[in-house]
Amino acid sequence: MSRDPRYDILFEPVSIGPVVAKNRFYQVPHCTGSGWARPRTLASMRETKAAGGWAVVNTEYCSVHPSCDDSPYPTASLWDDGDIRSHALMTEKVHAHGALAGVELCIGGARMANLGTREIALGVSSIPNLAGNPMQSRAMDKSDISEVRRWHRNAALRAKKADFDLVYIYATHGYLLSQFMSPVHNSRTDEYGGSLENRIRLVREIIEDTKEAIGESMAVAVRFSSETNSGSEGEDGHPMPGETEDIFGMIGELPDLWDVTVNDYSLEMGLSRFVPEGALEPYVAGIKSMTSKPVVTVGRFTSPDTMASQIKRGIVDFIGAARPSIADPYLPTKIEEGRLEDIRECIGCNICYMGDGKGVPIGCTQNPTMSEEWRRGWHPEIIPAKGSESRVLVVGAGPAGLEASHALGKRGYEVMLAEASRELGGRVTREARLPGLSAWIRVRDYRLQQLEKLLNVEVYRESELTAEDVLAVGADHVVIATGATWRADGFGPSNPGGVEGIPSVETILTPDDIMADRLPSGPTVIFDDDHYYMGTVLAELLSAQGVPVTLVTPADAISEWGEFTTDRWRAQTKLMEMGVDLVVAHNLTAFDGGKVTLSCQYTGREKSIEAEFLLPVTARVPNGQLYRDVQDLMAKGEVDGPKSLKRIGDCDAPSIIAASTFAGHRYARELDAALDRDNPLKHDRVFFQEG
Amino acid sequence: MTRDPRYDVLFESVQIGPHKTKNRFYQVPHCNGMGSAYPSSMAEMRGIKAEGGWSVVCTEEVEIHHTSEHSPLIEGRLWDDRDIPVFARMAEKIHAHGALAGLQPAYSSFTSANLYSREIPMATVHRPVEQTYPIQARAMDKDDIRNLRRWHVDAAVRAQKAGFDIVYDYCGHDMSIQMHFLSRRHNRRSDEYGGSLENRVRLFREILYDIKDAVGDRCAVAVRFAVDELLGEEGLTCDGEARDVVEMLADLPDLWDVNVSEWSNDSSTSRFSEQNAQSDYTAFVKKVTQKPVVGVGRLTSPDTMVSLIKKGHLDLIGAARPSIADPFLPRKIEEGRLEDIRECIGCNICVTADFLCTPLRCTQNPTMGEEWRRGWHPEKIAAKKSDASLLVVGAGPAGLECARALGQRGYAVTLAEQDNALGGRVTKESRLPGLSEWSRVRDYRQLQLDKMVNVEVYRNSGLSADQVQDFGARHVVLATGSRWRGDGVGRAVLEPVPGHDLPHVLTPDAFLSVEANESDLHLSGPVVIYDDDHYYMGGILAEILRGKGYQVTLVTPAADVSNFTHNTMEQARIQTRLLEKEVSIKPHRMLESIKVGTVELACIYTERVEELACGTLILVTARLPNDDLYYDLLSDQDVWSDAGIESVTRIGDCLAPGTIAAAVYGGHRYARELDEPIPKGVPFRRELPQLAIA
Repeated sequence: MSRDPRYDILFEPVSIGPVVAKNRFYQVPHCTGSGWARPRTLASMRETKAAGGWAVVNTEYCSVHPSCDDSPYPTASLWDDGDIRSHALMTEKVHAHGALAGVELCIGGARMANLGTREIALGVSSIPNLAGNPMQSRAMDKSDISEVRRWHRNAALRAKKADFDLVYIYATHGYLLSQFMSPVHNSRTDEYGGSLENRIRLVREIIEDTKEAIGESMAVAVRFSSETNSGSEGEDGHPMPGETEDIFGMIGELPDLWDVTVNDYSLEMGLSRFVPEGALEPYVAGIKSMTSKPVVTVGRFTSPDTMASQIKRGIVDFIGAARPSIADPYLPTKIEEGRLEDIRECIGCNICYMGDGKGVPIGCTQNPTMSEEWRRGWHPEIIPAKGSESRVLVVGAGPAGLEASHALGKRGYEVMLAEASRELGGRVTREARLPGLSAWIRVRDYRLQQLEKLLNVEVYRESELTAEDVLAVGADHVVIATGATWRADGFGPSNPGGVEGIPSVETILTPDDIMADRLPSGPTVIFDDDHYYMGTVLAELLSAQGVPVTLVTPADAISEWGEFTTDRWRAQTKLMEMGVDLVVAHNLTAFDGGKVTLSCQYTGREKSIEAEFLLPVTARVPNGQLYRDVQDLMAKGEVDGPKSLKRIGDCDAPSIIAASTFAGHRYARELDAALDRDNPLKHDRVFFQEG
Repeated sequence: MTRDPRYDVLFESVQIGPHKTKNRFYQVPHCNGMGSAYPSSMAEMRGIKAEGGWSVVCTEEVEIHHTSEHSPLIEGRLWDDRDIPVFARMAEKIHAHGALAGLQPAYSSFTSANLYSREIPMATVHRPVEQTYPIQARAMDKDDIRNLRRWHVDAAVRAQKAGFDIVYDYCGHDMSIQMHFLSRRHNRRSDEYGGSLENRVRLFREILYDIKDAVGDRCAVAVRFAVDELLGEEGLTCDGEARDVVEMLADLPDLWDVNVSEWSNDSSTSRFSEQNAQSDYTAFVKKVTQKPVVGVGRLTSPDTMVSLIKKGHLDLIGAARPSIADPFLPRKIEEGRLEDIRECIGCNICVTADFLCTPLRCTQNPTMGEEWRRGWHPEKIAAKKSDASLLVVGAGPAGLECARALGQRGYAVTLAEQDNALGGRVTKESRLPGLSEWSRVRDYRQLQLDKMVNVEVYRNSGLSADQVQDFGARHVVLATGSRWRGDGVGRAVLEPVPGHDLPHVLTPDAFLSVEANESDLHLSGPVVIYDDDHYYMGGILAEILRGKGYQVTLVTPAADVSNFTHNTMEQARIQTRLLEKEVSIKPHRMLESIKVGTVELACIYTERVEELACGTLILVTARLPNDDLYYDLLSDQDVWSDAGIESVTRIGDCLAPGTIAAAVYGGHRYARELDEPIPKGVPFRRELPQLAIA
């Protein structure tokens, strides 16, 4: 296959200062949850991007000095020469595939608390740490400013030693340089405050310093928000450009590339639940008219038509991507080779972002190999051939079963995939019908398209199997992926013994009922002890249908865990605007069909809410009956059982969809593989000299 | 000096299985935020404890298998043989001072989500993991239980190979699988591991036997056990099932390490618990077992320690936090230097480090976590390198520590304080309800200064720039603290709030000043406290004013009260106390404007504005450095050389308002670095990942 000529434009080389990108695919800097602590995990992950055709592959934010320490969040660092070797590992791997390697140097300001290094944060003024720690920055004086410039310059020189091709100046996202530019944050009265000329002085100086230090051989990029009004944000799609045009008038030609974004993270890396593909276009469209330098932006681009249109219409010069390059490191190669159906499109769930927020290597719902490239030796596109002639029966075609079948199929095994219902996809098919979650269907669609090409995988719909059926198939290996069922008894983290005051009545519904269109007909209390998206999505669904809804949660905030995916902020805003009543910090104690009784998590004081229906969103029970039945049947020893019987996905332990695709993939990888079960992954360790 | 014979009993040896301790001071396992991520730092810190006289020094929770790991929290890691060298180094450093080394293997069950290893957690039953991760643990079957036992044996064998003397069977804090099996709350199994107490204790007992079989001839086997969960009937109680368990296992282990559960109860802050708060719960254990018993209770008074031994409550004085605040506590008692003890103030800044995944911090001990990376010893400091004279202005935590450490180095120091009282913010804040122990930050330093002939302290001595110049010290250190902002600017609001200059708008300083007289404050209700600081101050002021009978509303942009105190394990207690006292709480709101009689609040989500009646508004948002003196001096820099001044430096809150721990650290660091070569680049040794070994 070869590429569609419509997409030729995406494969034109573009000069960035003294270096040339081989095409227009540009992996912008993005967090990885690995940072300086896990260099090998990181280098191999970046390598797969370069191998997959991205012309530019960047690091995450890279601290220039110990006084820019964002711990516990994992940043890269270039504090001293000791850091060079870790980066050199990455640049070597990226260069091996003809891509350029970039590093995003970062000066923290009041966003970084320096918890690890105990340095005092330098700020444009003395303000409280913006990550909530009880410490303030100190206002920088002249000598601090020259120190910061020197640190940045030294870091750029180290980046050169590490063989990077491109160095960023990070002037957005609330870090120090953006605070200097901001008319709100910058209250200085010296030549770095007041007029715009003064407020951009430090950015200009650092661009000039960097050009002078490394600009001859390396490109200099600036990451910048097109909304420089700083502080107040408009509605989505309605930019508030502030001083942007004036700034470009002053420094627009200084750097070699502009990486343009917006202030609001929840728009920039918006969930598909709230933000569509290409949402930054209104914010970026004018930039190219303000500078002759190449411009890149992001927008969860996965459609090559949209990408080509962005270039043709002169919006940008590069197709920037963070999440699409995580979901599919081989996206450019697949477009180039005309294999569009092989693209694993990002579903916009932001599970990747959670990894960074929790300080662990990022994972991906669509790409189970993400961050596993080095530690488990998993490649996103290459999988070892089968280790035997075994036949495998997979029961259940949800995300775990589909991915297991797909990966087993690619290994060459003969696979039978049996699904009880007519529809494939399991929970993703059901959940994709909920408000805002339609992109989740891509988890199913990618795998179905792959299965269609695999002659060794047979899919049986409407094939609910009994234990006897399973054994009658005579497969060598059986893997059960029968999913999970939402509980109706209130059992969950806040009620590990269930809720005693809940009778079993028809007016108690579960998320499974709602997804099967069994809807409440009167005032409903949703009790959310799950804390992710389901509670707020169902509240949105019912409220939109006119059902009076109260959302109750034992946590202090609704969708508490959604903080790590950016669900929380927009979900709460939306529910409040829809008029959903929210009750936080209350546990469920009883429901009698007419009212719900709640108890305050702090004081134990009770209160009640009139409600005809109760919808607990608390925990799930694995659908493990088939697994146990097969086990029992095998234990009787009357029939020959398979060589192995396993559970994967929600029927093993209910979890996020990413855990299901991971489990399915892992099952396929590990079949017939020699593996130390007590030690299955390599991990980066701290250098520790004996004695 | 020699020790007081009253304390002789604390220096008796105790037999623990095959080993004898040199005294009764026992550092129980505690987290340190270093663990597997900063192993050299961790080992050095433990070695210093041994040097300071603790006869047993233990690890933190040590992960024993990748299927139960604590990421992103940093704990010990003993997943395979390649992890042994880290622990061998630790044991070696402990043994160098004649102490015993203990290791606590920990398998967490539903309390860890395995975010790093991506393994499915295992628990007694299918259930969601804690901390609202949308992940469930799966119920363990018999194979899993067999594996779990084997992993404990593997860990014990590795611990022994690393040279450890004591290995734990951990059943505490509601954080280990042994405890989850034991708990009626968590264990709803119907097999021989569930149901009756005999069944529920089975796993705990089996692991104990397994470890004894594997390493019992050379290692003592200790149990760490929660004797009460403070949950009444819902949990283990010291007169119920916990006592039954101790009776069942009585003399099986070589040592009982007992405490109350969960961690927030075991390590309760001084704001909520006094010293020795666990004795009523743990005292029974010694009556039931012949084996030695260790217990904790933030014990810093040698008299209390002696009494616990003499009353037969404990055999060994356990400590985590007191050993962090003063690693040399045993040595100081032994040498009769009680006034040199840096007593723990019970603020739990140490705990915040664990939650925030950074090396351990301590308000009282600025060298904690710095032993290896900066080479700082808690008791030793380099002698002065010059005959420079120093003037330290301000005797708050930063100034006091700076003067003390400079004095210890032998410099001639003058400490000038504008107030009559020393201590600055710790003196003021220690008058707030629950914070009295914070004055120990002052008291320790004042006692030290009293002994130093080279440090002169002047009270009631506010200094102007001219006076500083006239004084003519070679180095001037400004530690003049900070003041609360009165304009509402903080994290949520970036520009002064309209109406902030109205007379009914106050800051915490109004309540902290020595002369504060309530009638002078002209308070009128209802009181609104706007807390965009999120640490303790807003909650405490609400408590005080409600106690005086005012109707109080606490408004905060956060989701809950005193949000940062989740990291000190106080948040639930603070919010519960306020709600019980009928303080009204309005979360998710920022301050929009202030008028006479009302404030306008805006929802941080919808921006909807509401009005709230307000007779007195207290703004707890941010602080401004008191740095006028610094800038006055700076503006007159030409006269410095004539005045003999070489440097003027700010430390503590007057440099950047922060925690008390940061102020003490700032003062200490200044003293350490004076006349020393300035490190180029990173000012401490780093622990970077290895690249060569796969």
